Amino acid sequence: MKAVDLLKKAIGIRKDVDSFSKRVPENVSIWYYVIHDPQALIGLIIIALFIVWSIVEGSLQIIGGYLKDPALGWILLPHNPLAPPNAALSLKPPSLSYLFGTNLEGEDILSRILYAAPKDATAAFLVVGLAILFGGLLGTVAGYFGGWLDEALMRITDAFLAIPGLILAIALSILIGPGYYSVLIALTIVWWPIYARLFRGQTLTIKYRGYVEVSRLFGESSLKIIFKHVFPNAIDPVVAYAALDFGTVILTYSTLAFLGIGVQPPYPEWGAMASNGLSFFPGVWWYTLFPSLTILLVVISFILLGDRLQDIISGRLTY
Amino acid sequence: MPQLEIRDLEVYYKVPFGTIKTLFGIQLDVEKGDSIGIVGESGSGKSTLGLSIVRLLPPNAIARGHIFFNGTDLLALPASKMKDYRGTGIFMIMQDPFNSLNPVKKVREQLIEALRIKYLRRNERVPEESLYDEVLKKLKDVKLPDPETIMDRYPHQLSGGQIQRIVIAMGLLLEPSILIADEPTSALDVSVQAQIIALIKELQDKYKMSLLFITHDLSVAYAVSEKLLILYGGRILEFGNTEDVMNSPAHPYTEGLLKSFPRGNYRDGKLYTLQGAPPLFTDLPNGCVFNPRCPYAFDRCYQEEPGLYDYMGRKVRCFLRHE
Amino acid sequence: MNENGSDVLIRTEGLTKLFLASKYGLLDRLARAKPLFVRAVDNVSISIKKGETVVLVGESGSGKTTLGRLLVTLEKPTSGEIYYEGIPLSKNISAVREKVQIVYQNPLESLDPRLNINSIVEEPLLNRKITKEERLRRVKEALESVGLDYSYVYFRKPKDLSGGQRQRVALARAIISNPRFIVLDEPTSALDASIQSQVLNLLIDLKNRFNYTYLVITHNIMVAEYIADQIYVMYAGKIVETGRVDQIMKKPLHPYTQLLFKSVPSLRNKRLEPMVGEPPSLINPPPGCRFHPRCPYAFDRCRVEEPALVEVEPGHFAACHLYTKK
Ligand SMILES: Nc1ncnc2c1ncn2[C@@H]1O[C@H](COP(=O)(O)OP(=O)(O)OP(=O)(O)O)[C@@H](O)[C@H]1O
Ligand SMILES: Nc1ncnc2c1ncn2[C@@H]1O[C@H](COP(=O)(O)OP(=O)(O)OP(=O)(O)O)[C@@H](O)[C@H]1O
Ligand SMILES: [Mg+2]
Ligand SMILES: [Mg+2]
Repeated sequence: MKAVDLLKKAIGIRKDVDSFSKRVPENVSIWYYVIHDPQALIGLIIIALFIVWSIVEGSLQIIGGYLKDPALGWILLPHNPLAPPNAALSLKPPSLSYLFGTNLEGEDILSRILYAAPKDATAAFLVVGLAILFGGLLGTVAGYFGGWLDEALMRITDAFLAIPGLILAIALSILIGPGYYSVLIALTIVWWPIYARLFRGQTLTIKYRGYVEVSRLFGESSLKIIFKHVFPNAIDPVVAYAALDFGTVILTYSTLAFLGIGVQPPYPEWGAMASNGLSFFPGVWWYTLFPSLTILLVVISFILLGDRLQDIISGRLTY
Repeated sequence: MPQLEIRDLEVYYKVPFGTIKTLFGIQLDVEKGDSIGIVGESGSGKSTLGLSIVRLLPPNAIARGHIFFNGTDLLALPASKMKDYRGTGIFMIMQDPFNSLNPVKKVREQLIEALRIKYLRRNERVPEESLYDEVLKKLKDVKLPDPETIMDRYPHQLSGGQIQRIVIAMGLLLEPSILIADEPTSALDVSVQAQIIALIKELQDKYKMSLLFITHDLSVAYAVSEKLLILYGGRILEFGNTEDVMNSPAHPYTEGLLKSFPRGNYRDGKLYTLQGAPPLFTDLPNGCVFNPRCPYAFDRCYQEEPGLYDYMGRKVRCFLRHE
Repeated sequence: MNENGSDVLIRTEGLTKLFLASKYGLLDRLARAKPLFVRAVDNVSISIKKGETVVLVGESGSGKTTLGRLLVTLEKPTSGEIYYEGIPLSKNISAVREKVQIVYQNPLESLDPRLNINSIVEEPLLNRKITKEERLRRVKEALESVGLDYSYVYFRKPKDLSGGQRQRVALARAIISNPRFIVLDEPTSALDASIQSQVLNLLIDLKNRFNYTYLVITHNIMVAEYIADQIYVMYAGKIVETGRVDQIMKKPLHPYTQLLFKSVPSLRNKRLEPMVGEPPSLINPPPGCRFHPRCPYAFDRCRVEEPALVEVEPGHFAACHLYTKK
């Protein structure tokens, strides 16, 4: 979260407290605003490209895996991202055939970046999704019933949130063992408390709304009320937060890879690539620059969109 | 010369689908010491009117026309010059008071800052301690509990009603020549509301401050104002002396509003009701804006829009009052 | 308030509700700190006759909403008892729940924004053994009773309706299960002036048709006067005055009621006279009469002895030492 705030500051997004005006004409879906808002639209387009590409490329890799034909995974890429080391191509600067240059092993950096995308996308959506599911349900139930359950959840999440997320993730992934999935598990364990808190907070306001109280009068069971009224209404504001959070997950995931935890070579990973390239910086600037820029671009797009979504959902947007 | 003259004011809002006209040809004179109640239902353009006078409309708004403040056309001023008129010249208590306070500054700093500006513009030198005392006294006047501790808090640490009173206190500290108050008592309980109204009136008498009091509640407007302006669908429908308007409303809308105010007990007879709902700006009727709900509407009302006619010392937008 | 049996729908005896003033956690418990309580409703005895509209007025924070919620079983009394038709609530809570409803001030908050009007209105019937056709019929009927066209509203969401229409939907949901008693918490204060009278008339119509009993909470004295049969005035968790509407409007007895009427804006009095002094603490209420610090007539006895409700004229009660003989 801190990273997001810093980034937001760096790229000049701030909550403009002086400009007010709350009323957004009703009856119009959120997407309408997103499409008419340059900031959100740019974010949305980049994210859409990222997701579509990840789905296409990811499917090819999976199909390739089943057919025992790894080449399928790079049929859309300019070069084989997992090509065997080739000293002749080592550390070539960007050129027409190698747009982002090559790395020490002589592999095409652009191809490797594109090849790595699906893993990042999966990480972001899986971690946030699982965090919403587990954290969200726990937070909602705790917030709704209150009492010792709530107290216990608060203490546990307090403990989690007291430890910097990155350090906890590092510790956990070392504990679980290296590899992609262990990083995902570690990240989910780090991530759920935030969502538990978010949903709990939402639930605390929703549970006193008239429609929940009235449902109780109708004799509706608590579980039914939670699933019919509380959870669905708590989700909206969380969605905007989650949009911001996808970026943060990718950033953390890449940082872990940068530190050598996570996806293992020879598979490419943005953070790991940036880290490998760093030792050649600044002479071989492209080696670390392009992977880093990719991370930044994706993270910023999520911020651009998420930030606007928050404004729209909270009705703070001027139109 | 009136202190404030509004001429042909029109306000438009740019929205994704185009432009929505929200104020239509507003004409209004405010004499020094006037207290004018601006009454209208939700969405009738009350806040828009207030905001255009202090030039704090949201960025997607366009204002056309003239607003003369002591002879200077505020709408023609560059933004940098406008600052000199805000605060001590014209101050507006916003409907959403949280937005008028700086979230990262303590209440105390903000109120003392306002006072400093006041004395600076008057070329008076006042010691710091007396600034503090003046602020403290004003917070007590607006009936805030524990004013000393409240001064050391940030806006988000206060309740809606408390913030509302702090902004009122700020308005009163600045002693502006025109105070625009947009629903200033909506979050307050009736007994505090009565105290705040009394306080505003007292200050008005003392400094000859002019007051534009925006409210949707006729009974509050009645208690506060000498003149009453009825706004509907972005137009002035009636403007005149409060007592006169209340005693013999000239516009069918005003009449309907007053008649539908609860009076007596249900056993003594049903309440009069105005059928229908206030209009949408995206879907205004042809002719008079009020014609869909008007019991007296006749052909002409559906064809052309009535002007704002003089009628028994008031202004009324209705063909029935046009001799 | 002598009640003789059958025409009384609800009666409370010494009804009290305390809230914890601040969180009383494990640590406080271990430290044996004394918990602080807000005395939101303090020893309140009222009775509501069948088919009558009772209005509750009083300052903000005086416990009106809490009392309303207690009566519809949304809050559990700390002590005291509520009787529905003579039977204590604690004995038949589920039977009572089917007969009571509540309508809130802000319909946008009390209607689930994600559901359409049909789902909102039918919700009270979902737990009952009713066929789908029957349910639909009753939804249509309820919407019609509140003056809404089923085919126009059934698929819309609350945000697509105007304020007045939303409050009608809330009313339709309240009446669909055929309740006997409906609490209306500030039912018109979120509505525009020209819509308020539409809703007030609707309430009267519904009551005449279905013989509902209402408890209306409001701070608008003109609304109170219009809709009430009986008025209760609350101050700091206590009932300080009650009587028929004409009695209270014509001759308010309690000094608080008198001052309240003077500080509430209406089309009748242009000169508001604000009440002086601070609102009372509900955690440490003033000793004796809770109103004495602000009362212009307070004398020694008021500071030490709490006045009981006494019948000053037939049916008109006040809790004030000005009227207790001694
Ligand atoms: N920034 C904006 N962009 C577009 N339309 C706006 C904007 N602000 C206000 N409006 C529209 O202009 C109209 C007048 O709004 P305004 O806030 O002046 O009403 P109001 O009379 O103050 O209402 P209320 O009593 O609800 O505060 C409304 O229809 C509103 O939806
Ligand atoms: N859940 C709660 N926990 C603690 N205190 C509460 C709770 N609910 C209400 N209170 C307190 O009880 C008192 C009475 O509240 P209540 O909502 O009944 O007042 P009210 O008369 O309805 O006021 P208003 O006119 O402002 O709605 C208030 O002081 C309030 O702060
Ligand atoms: Mg407004
Ligand atoms: Mg209440």
